[in-house]
Amino acid sequence: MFGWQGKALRINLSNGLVETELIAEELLENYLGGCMLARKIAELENISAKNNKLIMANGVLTGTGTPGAALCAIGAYVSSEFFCCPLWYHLGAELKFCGYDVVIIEGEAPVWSYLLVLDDEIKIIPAEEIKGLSPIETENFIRDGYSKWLGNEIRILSIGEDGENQSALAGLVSDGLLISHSGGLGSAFGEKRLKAIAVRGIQDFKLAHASKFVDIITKAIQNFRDNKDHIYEQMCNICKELNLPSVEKIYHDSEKRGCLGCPIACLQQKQDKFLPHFTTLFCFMDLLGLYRLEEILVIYNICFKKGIDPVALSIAARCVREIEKSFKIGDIEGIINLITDQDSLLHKGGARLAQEYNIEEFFKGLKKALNDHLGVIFGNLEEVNEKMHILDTLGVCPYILLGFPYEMVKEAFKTVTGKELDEESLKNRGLKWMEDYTVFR
Amino acid sequence: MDGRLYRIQIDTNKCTGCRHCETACSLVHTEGKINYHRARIRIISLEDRFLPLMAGPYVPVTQECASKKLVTINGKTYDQCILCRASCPNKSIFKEPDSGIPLKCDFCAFRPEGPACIEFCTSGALNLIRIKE
Repeated sequence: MFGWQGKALRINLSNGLVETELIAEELLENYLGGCMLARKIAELENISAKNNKLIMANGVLTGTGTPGAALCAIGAYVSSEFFCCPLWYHLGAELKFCGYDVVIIEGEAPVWSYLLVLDDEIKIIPAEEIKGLSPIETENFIRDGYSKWLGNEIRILSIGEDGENQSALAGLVSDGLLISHSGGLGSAFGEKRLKAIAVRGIQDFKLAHASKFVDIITKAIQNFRDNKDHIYEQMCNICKELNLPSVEKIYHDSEKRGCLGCPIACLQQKQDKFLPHFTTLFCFMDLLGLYRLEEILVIYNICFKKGIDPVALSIAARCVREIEKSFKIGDIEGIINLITDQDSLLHKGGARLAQEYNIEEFFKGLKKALNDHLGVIFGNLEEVNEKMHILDTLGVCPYILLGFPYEMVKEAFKTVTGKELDEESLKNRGLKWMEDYTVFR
Repeated sequence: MDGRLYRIQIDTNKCTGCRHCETACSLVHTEGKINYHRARIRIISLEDRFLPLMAGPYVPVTQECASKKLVTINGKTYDQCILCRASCPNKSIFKEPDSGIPLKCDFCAFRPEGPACIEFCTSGALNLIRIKE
Protein backbone atom coordinates (compact mmCIF):
# COMPACT_ATOMS: atom_id res chain seq x y z
CA MET A 1 0.00 0.00 0.00
CA PHE A 2 1.39 3.38 -1.01
CA GLY A 3 0.34 6.72 0.46
CA TRP A 4 -0.49 5.34 3.90
CA GLN A 5 1.63 3.69 6.56
CA GLY A 6 -1.33 1.41 7.32
CA LYS A 7 -0.96 1.50 11.08
CA ALA A 8 -2.75 3.07 14.03
CA LEU A 9 -1.30 3.75 17.44
CA ARG A 10 -3.65 3.17 20.36
CA ILE A 11 -2.71 4.53 23.75
CA ASN A 12 -4.66 3.97 26.93
CA LEU A 13 -3.71 6.66 29.42
CA SER A 14 -5.51 4.90 32.30
CA ASN A 15 -3.54 1.65 32.24
CA GLY A 16 -0.55 2.74 30.15
CA LEU A 17 -1.22 0.15 27.44
CA VAL A 18 0.29 1.00 24.05
CA GLU A 19 -0.75 -1.00 20.99
CA THR A 20 -0.02 -0.80 17.30
CA GLU A 21 -2.93 -1.88 15.11
CA LEU A 22 -3.16 -2.49 11.39
CA ILE A 23 -5.80 -0.36 9.70
CA ALA A 24 -8.03 -2.11 7.16
CA GLU A 25 -6.92 -1.10 3.67
CA GLU A 26 -10.57 -0.67 2.68
CA LEU A 27 -11.14 1.86 5.47
CA LEU A 28 -8.19 3.96 4.33
CA GLU A 29 -9.11 3.77 0.66
CA ASN A 30 -12.73 4.70 1.34
CA TYR A 31 -12.15 7.48 3.85
CA LEU A 32 -8.63 8.56 2.80
CA GLY A 33 -7.64 10.63 5.82
CA GLY A 34 -8.12 13.94 7.63
CA CYS A 35 -11.40 14.85 9.29
CA MET A 36 -13.32 12.34 7.17
CA LEU A 37 -11.27 9.39 8.43
CA ALA A 38 -11.18 10.77 11.99
CA ARG A 39 -14.96 11.07 11.98
CA LYS A 40 -15.38 7.51 10.69
CA ILE A 41 -13.03 6.16 13.35
CA ALA A 42 -14.92 8.11 16.01
CA GLU A 43 -18.08 6.37 14.80
CA LEU A 44 -16.43 2.94 14.89
CA GLU A 45 -15.04 3.62 18.36
CA ASN A 46 -18.44 4.71 19.68
CA ILE A 47 -17.09 7.95 21.03
CA SER A 48 -19.32 9.75 23.49
CA ALA A 49 -19.00 12.09 26.49
CA LYS A 50 -18.46 9.04 28.74
CA ASN A 51 -16.16 7.27 26.29
CA ASN A 52 -14.18 10.22 24.99
CA LYS A 53 -11.12 9.58 22.84
CA LEU A 54 -8.74 11.84 21.01
CA ILE A 55 -8.41 10.83 17.38
CA MET A 56 -5.64 12.04 15.09
CA ALA A 57 -5.80 11.14 11.41
CA ASN A 58 -3.25 12.20 8.84
CA GLY A 59 -4.13 13.21 5.31
CA VAL A 60 -3.02 10.83 2.55
CA LEU A 61 -0.56 13.31 1.10
CA THR A 62 0.65 14.71 4.43
CA GLY A 63 4.44 14.67 4.55
CA THR A 64 4.85 13.61 0.91
CA GLY A 65 6.17 16.94 -0.31
CA THR A 66 3.00 17.84 -2.19
CA PRO A 67 2.82 21.63 -1.71
CA GLY A 68 0.77 22.44 1.39
CA ALA A 69 0.33 18.80 2.43
CA ALA A 70 0.94 19.19 6.15
CA LEU A 71 -2.47 18.74 7.72
CA CYS A 72 -3.44 16.17 10.28
CA ALA A 73 -6.98 16.09 11.64
CA ILE A 74 -7.50 16.01 15.37
CA GLY A 75 -10.86 15.45 16.98
CA ALA A 76 -12.63 14.50 20.19
CA TYR A 77 -16.08 14.56 21.70
CA VAL A 78 -16.60 18.16 22.76
CA SER A 79 -19.82 19.57 24.29
CA SER A 80 -22.33 17.40 22.53
CA GLU A 81 -20.71 15.92 19.44
CA PHE A 82 -17.49 14.81 17.81
CA PHE A 83 -15.56 17.90 16.77
CA CYS A 84 -12.63 17.80 14.41
CA CYS A 85 -10.20 20.39 13.07
CA PRO A 86 -7.05 20.31 10.95
CA LEU A 87 -3.68 20.75 12.65
CA TRP A 88 -1.13 22.72 10.65
CA TYR A 89 2.62 23.03 10.72
CA HIS A 90 4.86 19.95 11.11
CA LEU A 91 3.43 17.55 13.65
CA GLY A 92 1.19 15.50 11.33
CA ALA A 93 4.01 14.60 8.97
CA GLU A 94 6.24 13.70 11.91
CA LEU A 95 3.58 11.25 13.05
CA LYS A 96 3.61 9.69 9.61
CA PHE A 97 7.38 9.32 9.84
CA CYS A 98 6.78 7.44 13.12
CA GLY A 99 4.84 4.97 10.96
CA TYR A 100 1.27 5.92 11.89
CA ASP A 101 -1.68 7.27 9.95
CA VAL A 102 -3.93 7.34 12.98
CA VAL A 103 -3.51 7.83 16.73
CA ILE A 104 -6.27 6.96 19.20
CA ILE A 105 -5.82 8.18 22.77
CA GLU A 106 -8.24 6.84 25.34
CA GLY A 107 -8.62 6.78 29.12
CA GLU A 108 -7.40 9.31 31.64
CA ALA A 109 -3.90 9.57 33.05
CA PRO A 110 -3.70 9.22 36.85
CA VAL A 111 -1.45 12.32 37.02
CA TRP A 112 -0.59 15.10 34.55
CA SER A 113 1.51 13.50 31.82
CA TYR A 114 2.74 13.93 28.31
CA LEU A 115 2.90 11.40 25.52
CA LEU A 116 6.21 10.75 23.85
CA VAL A 117 6.36 9.04 20.46
CA LEU A 118 10.07 8.98 19.76
CA ASP A 119 10.91 6.62 16.91
CA ASP A 120 9.95 3.17 18.28
CA GLU A 121 9.83 4.36 21.85
CA ILE A 122 6.30 5.22 22.97
CA LYS A 123 5.87 6.36 26.54
CA ILE A 124 3.35 8.10 28.74
CA ILE A 125 5.56 10.26 30.92
CA PRO A 126 4.10 11.42 34.24
CA ALA A 127 5.17 15.00 34.93
CA GLU A 128 3.17 16.79 37.60
CA GLU A 129 5.54 19.75 37.31
CA ILE A 130 4.25 20.37 33.78
CA LYS A 131 0.84 21.44 35.14
CA GLY A 132 0.33 25.19 34.99
CA LEU A 133 2.98 25.76 32.34
CA SER A 134 2.16 27.76 29.23
CA PRO A 135 2.39 25.89 25.91
CA ILE A 136 5.80 27.40 25.12
CA GLU A 137 7.11 26.55 28.62
CA THR A 138 5.81 23.02 28.10
CA GLU A 139 7.69 22.76 24.81
CA ASN A 140 10.89 23.95 26.48
CA PHE A 141 10.37 21.54 29.39
CA ILE A 142 10.11 18.57 27.02
CA ARG A 143 12.92 19.66 24.68
CA ASP A 144 15.30 20.34 27.58
CA GLY A 145 15.23 16.63 28.37
CA TYR A 146 17.08 15.87 25.14
CA SER A 147 20.22 16.96 23.34
CA LYS A 148 19.96 20.24 21.47
CA TRP A 149 19.84 18.49 18.10
CA LEU A 150 17.24 15.89 19.09
CA GLY A 151 15.18 18.49 20.94
CA ASN A 152 15.10 20.54 17.76
CA GLU A 153 13.64 17.59 15.83
CA ILE A 154 10.84 16.83 18.28
CA ARG A 155 7.44 18.26 17.29
CA ILE A 156 5.14 19.14 20.16
CA LEU A 157 1.41 19.69 20.48
CA SER A 158 0.40 21.12 23.84
CA ILE A 159 -2.26 22.89 25.84
CA GLY A 160 -2.14 25.81 28.25
CA GLU A 161 -3.84 26.63 31.51
CA ASP A 162 -7.26 26.93 29.86
CA GLY A 163 -7.00 23.38 28.53
CA GLU A 164 -6.16 22.16 32.02
CA ASN A 165 -9.26 23.96 33.32
CA GLN A 166 -11.32 22.40 30.51
CA SER A 167 -12.54 25.73 29.18
CA ALA A 168 -14.64 25.54 26.02
CA LEU A 169 -12.24 28.06 24.48
CA ALA A 170 -9.13 25.96 25.05
CA GLY A 171 -7.25 25.30 21.85
CA LEU A 172 -3.98 23.70 20.89
CA VAL A 173 -0.49 25.01 20.28
CA SER A 174 1.81 23.22 17.84
CA ASP A 175 5.50 24.13 18.05
CA GLY A 176 4.76 27.69 19.12
CA LEU A 177 1.90 28.13 16.67
CA LEU A 178 -1.56 28.76 18.10
CA ILE A 179 -3.97 26.59 16.10
CA SER A 180 -7.02 28.68 15.34
CA HIS A 181 -10.35 26.81 15.08
CA SER A 182 -9.14 24.23 17.62
CA GLY A 183 -11.33 25.68 20.39
CA GLY A 184 -12.64 22.95 22.70
CA LEU A 185 -10.04 20.33 21.83
CA GLY A 186 -7.73 21.66 24.56
CA SER A 187 -10.39 20.71 27.09
CA ALA A 188 -10.39 17.13 25.75
CA PHE A 189 -6.65 17.04 26.54
CA GLY A 190 -7.36 18.50 29.98
CA GLU A 191 -10.04 15.90 30.66
CA LYS A 192 -7.40 13.21 30.07
CA ARG A 193 -4.68 15.02 32.07
CA LEU A 194 -2.65 14.99 28.88
CA LYS A 195 -0.54 18.14 28.69
CA ALA A 196 1.27 17.45 25.43
CA ILE A 197 2.11 15.06 22.64
CA ALA A 198 5.77 15.01 21.53
CA VAL A 199 6.66 13.27 18.29
CA ARG A 200 9.75 12.46 16.27
CA GLY A 201 9.88 9.81 13.55
CA ILE A 202 12.59 8.28 11.39
CA GLN A 203 10.67 5.78 9.29
CA ASP A 204 10.46 5.76 5.51
CA PHE A 205 7.35 6.58 3.61
CA LYS A 206 7.04 5.06 0.14
CA LEU A 207 5.49 6.59 -2.96
CA ALA A 208 4.00 4.58 -5.84
CA HIS A 209 5.60 6.56 -8.70
CA ALA A 210 8.28 8.75 -7.14
CA SER A 211 9.94 10.07 -10.30
CA LYS A 212 6.60 11.10 -11.82
CA PHE A 213 5.72 12.74 -8.51
CA VAL A 214 8.96 14.75 -8.54
CA ASP A 215 8.24 15.85 -12.14
CA ILE A 216 4.72 17.03 -11.27
CA ILE A 217 5.82 18.93 -8.18
CA THR A 218 8.86 20.48 -9.90
CA LYS A 219 6.68 21.73 -12.73
CA ALA A 220 4.08 23.12 -10.32
CA ILE A 221 6.77 24.89 -8.29
CA GLN A 222 8.29 26.40 -11.42
CA ASN A 223 4.89 27.72 -12.37
CA PHE A 224 4.40 29.07 -8.84
CA ARG A 225 7.75 30.89 -9.02
CA ASP A 226 6.72 32.55 -12.28
CA ASN A 227 3.47 33.79 -10.72
CA LYS A 228 4.72 34.53 -7.22
CA ASP A 229 4.27 38.29 -7.42
CA HIS A 230 0.73 37.89 -8.62
CA ILE A 231 -0.04 35.62 -5.64
CA TYR A 232 1.25 38.11 -3.07
CA GLU A 233 -0.72 40.86 -4.77
CA GLN A 234 -3.76 38.60 -4.49
CA MET A 235 -3.13 38.12 -0.75
CA CYS A 236 -2.84 41.88 -0.23
CA ASN A 237 -6.15 42.32 -2.05
CA ILE A 238 -7.74 39.75 0.24
CA CYS A 239 -6.65 41.79 3.28
CA LYS A 240 -8.08 44.93 1.71
CA GLU A 241 -11.33 43.19 0.91
CA LEU A 242 -11.55 41.82 4.45
CA ASN A 243 -11.03 45.37 5.67
CA LEU A 244 -7.98 44.45 7.74
CA PRO A 245 -6.05 47.74 7.77
CA SER A 246 -3.69 46.63 10.55
CA VAL A 247 -2.31 43.71 8.56
CA GLU A 248 0.36 45.80 6.92
CA LYS A 249 1.44 47.22 10.30
CA ILE A 250 1.38 43.89 12.10
CA TYR A 251 3.29 42.06 9.39
CA HIS A 252 5.80 44.87 8.88
CA ASP A 253 9.32 43.50 9.24
CA SER A 254 8.01 40.02 9.98
CA GLU A 255 9.39 36.84 8.45
CA LYS A 256 7.39 34.33 6.47
CA ARG A 257 7.06 30.82 7.86
CA GLY A 258 5.75 27.74 6.12
CA CYS A 259 4.08 24.54 7.24
CA LEU A 260 5.77 21.42 5.95
CA GLY A 261 6.32 21.70 2.20
CA CYS A 262 4.27 24.87 1.79
CA PRO A 263 5.56 27.43 -0.72
CA ILE A 264 2.76 29.90 0.13
CA ALA A 265 4.17 30.32 3.67
CA CYS A 266 1.27 32.40 4.96
CA LEU A 267 2.43 32.25 8.59
CA GLN A 268 4.30 35.27 9.89
CA GLN A 269 6.83 35.39 12.68
CA LYS A 270 8.53 38.28 14.44
CA GLN A 271 11.27 37.83 17.06
CA ASP A 272 10.62 34.07 17.28
CA LYS A 273 6.89 34.56 17.94
CA PHE A 274 4.12 33.79 15.49
CA LEU A 275 1.83 36.67 14.62
CA PRO A 276 -1.96 36.36 14.36
CA HIS A 277 -3.18 34.84 11.09
CA PHE A 278 -5.77 36.41 8.73
CA THR A 279 -8.72 34.65 10.38
CA THR A 280 -7.61 35.68 13.86
CA LEU A 281 -7.18 39.28 12.72
CA PHE A 282 -10.58 39.21 11.10
CA CYS A 283 -12.14 37.86 14.34
CA PHE A 284 -10.36 40.37 16.59
CA MET A 285 -11.28 43.31 14.40
CA ASP A 286 -14.73 42.41 13.15
CA LEU A 287 -16.05 40.48 16.14
CA LEU A 288 -14.12 41.83 19.14
CA GLY A 289 -13.92 45.39 17.80
CA LEU A 290 -10.18 45.68 18.40
CA TYR A 291 -8.51 47.79 15.74
CA ARG A 292 -5.38 49.09 17.45
CA LEU A 293 -2.31 47.02 16.75
CA GLU A 294 -1.19 47.04 20.40
CA GLU A 295 -4.58 45.83 21.60
CA ILE A 296 -4.71 43.03 19.06
CA LEU A 297 -1.29 41.83 20.12
CA VAL A 298 -2.13 42.02 23.84
CA ILE A 299 -5.17 39.76 23.42
CA TYR A 300 -3.30 37.46 21.04
CA ASN A 301 -0.45 37.05 23.52
CA ILE A 302 -2.91 36.23 26.31
CA CYS A 303 -4.48 33.59 24.03
CA PHE A 304 -1.05 32.20 23.24
CA LYS A 305 0.00 32.03 26.88
CA LYS A 306 -3.21 30.46 28.12
CA GLY A 307 -3.75 28.26 25.05
CA ILE A 308 -7.02 29.86 23.96
CA ASP A 309 -8.34 29.58 20.41
CA PRO A 310 -8.75 33.20 19.24
CA VAL A 311 -11.64 32.28 16.94
CA ALA A 312 -13.58 30.53 19.72
CA LEU A 313 -12.80 33.48 22.00
CA SER A 314 -14.16 36.04 19.54
CA ILE A 315 -17.35 34.09 18.87
CA ALA A 316 -17.95 33.49 22.59
CA ALA A 317 -17.27 37.16 23.43
CA ARG A 318 -19.87 38.27 20.90
CA CYS A 319 -22.36 35.87 22.46
CA VAL A 320 -21.57 37.28 25.93
CA ARG A 321 -22.20 40.76 24.55
CA GLU A 322 -25.59 39.59 23.29
CA ILE A 323 -26.43 38.26 26.77
CA GLU A 324 -24.84 40.92 28.97
CA LYS A 325 -25.27 44.33 27.39
CA SER A 326 -22.96 45.89 29.98
CA PHE A 327 -20.00 44.22 28.23
CA LYS A 328 -18.91 46.39 25.34
CA ILE A 329 -17.24 45.27 22.15
CA GLY A 330 -13.86 46.96 21.73
CA ASP A 331 -13.39 47.24 25.50
CA ILE A 332 -10.03 45.54 25.94
CA GLU A 333 -10.16 45.64 29.75
CA GLY A 334 -13.55 43.99 29.68
CA ILE A 335 -12.26 41.26 27.35
CA ILE A 336 -9.22 40.61 29.56
CA ASN A 337 -11.45 40.40 32.65
CA LEU A 338 -13.68 37.86 30.94
CA ILE A 339 -10.67 35.77 29.88
CA THR A 340 -8.99 35.79 33.29
CA ASP A 341 -12.19 34.99 35.18
CA GLN A 342 -12.48 31.22 34.71
CA ASP A 343 -16.10 31.33 35.92
CA SER A 344 -17.18 33.96 33.40
CA LEU A 345 -19.80 33.16 30.79
CA LEU A 346 -17.11 33.44 28.13
CA HIS A 347 -15.54 30.10 29.11
CA LYS A 348 -18.76 28.26 28.35
CA GLY A 349 -18.08 28.87 24.68
CA GLY A 350 -20.30 30.25 21.92
CA ALA A 351 -22.24 27.07 21.10
CA ARG A 352 -23.28 26.41 24.71
CA LEU A 353 -24.17 30.05 25.36
CA ALA A 354 -26.29 30.07 22.22
CA GLN A 355 -28.19 27.02 23.47
CA GLU A 356 -28.55 28.09 27.09
CA TYR A 357 -29.58 31.68 26.39
CA ASN A 358 -31.62 30.99 23.30
CA ILE A 359 -29.52 33.13 20.96
CA GLU A 360 -29.01 30.45 18.33
CA GLU A 361 -30.01 32.71 15.44
CA PHE A 362 -27.44 35.28 16.52
CA PHE A 363 -24.83 32.51 16.82
CA LYS A 364 -25.63 31.29 13.31
CA GLY A 365 -25.13 34.85 12.08
CA LEU A 366 -21.60 34.86 13.54
CA LYS A 367 -20.86 31.56 11.83
CA LYS A 368 -22.10 33.01 8.57
CA ALA A 369 -19.83 36.06 8.94
CA LEU A 370 -16.85 33.73 9.33
CA ASN A 371 -17.90 31.63 6.38
CA ASP A 372 -18.24 34.78 4.31
CA HIS A 373 -14.70 35.78 5.25
CA LEU A 374 -13.47 32.39 4.01
CA GLY A 375 -15.42 33.14 0.84
CA VAL A 376 -13.34 36.30 0.36
CA ILE A 377 -10.12 34.31 0.78
CA PHE A 378 -11.00 31.38 -1.44
CA GLY A 379 -13.36 32.97 -3.93
CA ASN A 380 -16.83 31.59 -4.46
CA LEU A 381 -17.27 29.34 -1.42
CA GLU A 382 -20.03 27.34 -3.02
CA GLU A 383 -17.64 26.37 -5.77
CA VAL A 384 -14.57 25.67 -3.66
CA ASN A 385 -16.31 24.13 -0.65
CA GLU A 386 -16.33 20.65 -2.15
CA LYS A 387 -12.69 20.94 -3.16
CA MET A 388 -11.80 22.03 0.36
CA HIS A 389 -13.48 18.93 1.77
CA ILE A 390 -11.39 16.77 -0.53
CA LEU A 391 -8.19 18.68 0.19
CA ASP A 392 -8.78 18.06 3.89
CA THR A 393 -8.99 14.30 3.41
CA LEU A 394 -5.73 14.52 1.48
CA GLY A 395 -4.09 16.62 4.20
CA VAL A 396 -3.60 19.61 1.91
CA CYS A 397 -4.18 23.13 3.22
CA PRO A 398 -6.83 25.03 1.21
CA TYR A 399 -4.54 28.09 1.10
CA ILE A 400 -2.53 26.18 -1.48
CA LEU A 401 -5.30 26.97 -3.99
CA LEU A 402 -4.02 30.57 -3.96
CA GLY A 403 -0.89 29.46 -5.79
CA PHE A 404 -1.40 25.96 -7.17
CA PRO A 405 -4.09 24.36 -9.33
CA TYR A 406 -6.39 21.77 -7.77
CA GLU A 407 -5.50 19.44 -10.63
CA MET A 408 -1.90 19.30 -9.40
CA VAL A 409 -3.11 17.87 -6.07
CA LYS A 410 -5.15 15.22 -7.90
CA GLU A 411 -2.13 14.23 -9.97
CA ALA A 412 0.03 14.11 -6.84
CA PHE A 413 -2.51 11.76 -5.25
CA LYS A 414 -2.27 9.46 -8.27
CA THR A 415 1.52 9.28 -8.19
CA VAL A 416 1.71 8.91 -4.42
CA THR A 417 -0.93 6.17 -4.05
CA GLY A 418 -1.01 4.69 -7.56
CA LYS A 419 -4.80 5.16 -7.54
CA GLU A 420 -7.25 7.59 -9.14
CA LEU A 421 -8.96 10.05 -6.81
CA ASP A 422 -12.63 9.13 -6.88
CA GLU A 423 -14.30 12.39 -5.89
CA GLU A 424 -17.83 11.16 -6.52
CA SER A 425 -17.59 8.27 -4.08
CA LEU A 426 -16.02 10.57 -1.48
CA LYS A 427 -19.04 12.85 -1.75
CA ASN A 428 -21.33 9.86 -1.25
CA ARG A 429 -19.53 8.94 1.94
CA GLY A 430 -20.49 12.24 3.50
CA LEU A 431 -17.64 14.69 3.25
CA LYS A 432 -17.78 17.03 6.15
CA TRP A 433 -15.32 19.81 6.67
CA MET A 434 -16.81 23.25 6.68
CA GLU A 435 -19.54 22.22 9.13
CA ASP A 436 -16.89 21.09 11.57
CA TYR A 437 -14.72 24.07 10.94
CA THR A 438 -17.46 26.53 11.69
CA VAL A 439 -19.06 25.00 14.77
CA PHE A 440 -17.06 27.26 17.01
CA ARG A 441 -17.14 26.44 20.65
CA MET B 1 25.94 19.35 -14.24
CA ASP B 2 28.46 20.69 -16.76
CA GLY B 3 31.84 20.14 -15.06
CA ARG B 4 32.14 23.70 -13.81
CA LEU B 5 32.44 24.38 -10.06
CA TYR B 6 29.19 25.12 -8.28
CA ARG B 7 28.15 25.92 -4.77
CA ILE B 8 24.82 26.04 -2.99
CA GLN B 9 24.36 29.48 -1.54
CA ILE B 10 22.20 29.63 1.58
CA ASP B 11 20.29 32.75 2.57
CA THR B 12 18.95 32.17 6.08
CA ASN B 13 16.92 35.37 5.91
CA LYS B 14 14.72 33.79 3.28
CA CYS B 15 14.26 30.29 4.69
CA THR B 16 10.63 29.76 5.83
CA GLY B 17 11.40 26.43 7.51
CA CYS B 18 9.05 24.49 5.21
CA ARG B 19 11.63 21.71 4.82
CA HIS B 20 10.68 21.08 1.20
CA CYS B 21 14.41 20.77 0.48
CA GLU B 22 14.74 17.85 2.91
CA THR B 23 11.82 16.08 1.27
CA ALA B 24 13.21 16.61 -2.22
CA CYS B 25 16.66 15.40 -1.20
CA SER B 26 15.43 12.21 0.41
CA LEU B 27 13.06 11.52 -2.50
CA VAL B 28 15.68 11.63 -5.22
CA HIS B 29 18.35 9.80 -3.20
CA THR B 30 16.30 6.91 -1.83
CA GLU B 31 14.40 5.36 -4.73
CA GLY B 32 10.98 6.74 -3.99
CA LYS B 33 11.06 6.96 -0.22
CA ILE B 34 10.57 10.05 1.84
CA ASN B 35 12.43 10.32 5.10
CA TYR B 36 14.17 13.53 5.97
CA HIS B 37 16.57 11.57 8.12
CA ARG B 38 17.97 10.30 4.83
CA ALA B 39 18.37 13.83 3.46
CA ARG B 40 21.75 15.44 2.94
CA ILE B 41 20.35 18.83 3.82
CA ARG B 42 18.52 19.49 7.06
CA ILE B 43 16.76 22.52 8.49
CA ILE B 44 17.61 23.50 12.01
CA SER B 45 15.41 25.88 13.92
CA LEU B 46 17.28 28.63 15.73
CA GLU B 47 15.62 31.10 18.04
CA ASP B 48 14.47 33.49 15.38
CA ARG B 49 15.32 31.82 12.09
CA PHE B 50 15.72 28.59 10.21
CA LEU B 51 19.06 27.46 8.96
CA PRO B 52 19.53 24.92 6.17
CA LEU B 53 22.51 22.77 7.16
CA MET B 54 24.56 20.51 4.93
CA ALA B 55 27.13 19.38 7.44
CA GLY B 56 25.68 17.16 10.13
CA PRO B 57 24.60 17.81 13.69
CA TYR B 58 26.48 19.75 16.35
CA VAL B 59 30.07 19.10 17.31
CA PRO B 60 30.29 18.27 21.03
CA VAL B 61 32.13 21.04 22.87
CA THR B 62 34.51 19.06 25.01
CA GLN B 63 35.51 16.34 22.59
CA GLU B 64 36.04 18.06 19.30
CA CYS B 65 35.73 21.79 19.70
CA ALA B 66 37.58 23.65 22.41
CA SER B 67 36.57 27.10 21.29
CA LYS B 68 32.80 26.87 21.00
CA LYS B 69 31.30 30.05 22.34
CA LEU B 70 28.10 31.96 22.33
CA VAL B 71 28.15 34.93 19.99
CA THR B 72 25.80 37.89 20.23
CA ILE B 73 24.77 39.59 17.00
CA ASN B 74 22.19 42.39 16.99
CA GLY B 75 21.11 41.46 20.51
CA LYS B 76 20.55 37.78 19.66
CA THR B 77 22.77 35.05 21.02
CA TYR B 78 23.86 32.34 18.65
CA ASP B 79 25.77 29.17 19.22
CA GLN B 80 29.08 29.61 17.44
CA CYS B 81 28.94 25.99 16.30
CA ILE B 82 26.23 27.08 13.89
CA LEU B 83 28.23 30.01 12.58
CA CYS B 84 31.54 28.39 11.83
CA ARG B 85 30.40 24.99 10.63
CA ALA B 86 31.40 25.62 7.05
CA SER B 87 35.07 25.89 7.95
CA CYS B 88 35.10 23.49 10.91
CA PRO B 89 37.68 20.72 10.42
CA ASN B 90 35.89 18.44 12.86
CA LYS B 91 32.36 18.94 11.69
CA SER B 92 30.19 15.88 11.90
CA ILE B 93 28.19 14.46 9.03
CA PHE B 94 24.59 13.27 8.76
CA LYS B 95 24.12 9.52 8.87
CA GLU B 96 21.38 7.15 7.74
CA PRO B 97 19.19 6.43 10.80
CA ASP B 98 19.25 2.64 10.37
CA SER B 99 22.47 1.74 8.56
CA GLY B 100 24.65 4.57 9.85
CA ILE B 101 25.93 5.23 6.30
CA PRO B 102 27.27 8.80 6.09
CA LEU B 103 25.24 11.15 3.92
CA LYS B 104 27.06 13.78 1.90
CA CYS B 105 25.64 16.24 -0.56
CA ASP B 106 26.54 15.19 -4.10
CA PHE B 107 24.82 18.16 -5.78
CA CYS B 108 22.44 15.54 -7.27
CA ALA B 109 25.12 14.88 -9.88
CA PHE B 110 22.93 12.11 -11.34
CA ARG B 111 20.16 14.62 -12.19
CA PRO B 112 20.55 16.73 -15.32
CA GLU B 113 18.31 19.36 -13.67
CA GLY B 114 20.78 19.83 -10.81
CA PRO B 115 20.17 19.73 -7.04
CA ALA B 116 16.60 18.76 -6.16
CA CYS B 117 16.62 20.88 -2.98
CA ILE B 118 17.07 24.03 -5.06
CA GLU B 119 14.30 23.02 -7.45
CA PHE B 120 11.88 22.54 -4.54
CA CYS B 121 12.89 25.72 -2.67
CA THR B 122 10.47 28.52 -3.50
CA SER B 123 11.58 31.00 -0.88
CA GLY B 124 14.93 31.79 -2.52
CA ALA B 125 16.86 30.51 0.50
CA LEU B 126 18.81 28.05 -1.66
CA ASN B 127 20.53 29.09 -4.86
CA LEU B 128 23.00 27.38 -7.12
CA ILE B 129 25.94 29.65 -7.89
CA ARG B 130 28.80 29.01 -10.28
CA ILE B 131 32.10 29.90 -8.66
CA LYS B 132 34.56 28.80 -11.36
CA GLU B 133 34.49 28.16 -15.09
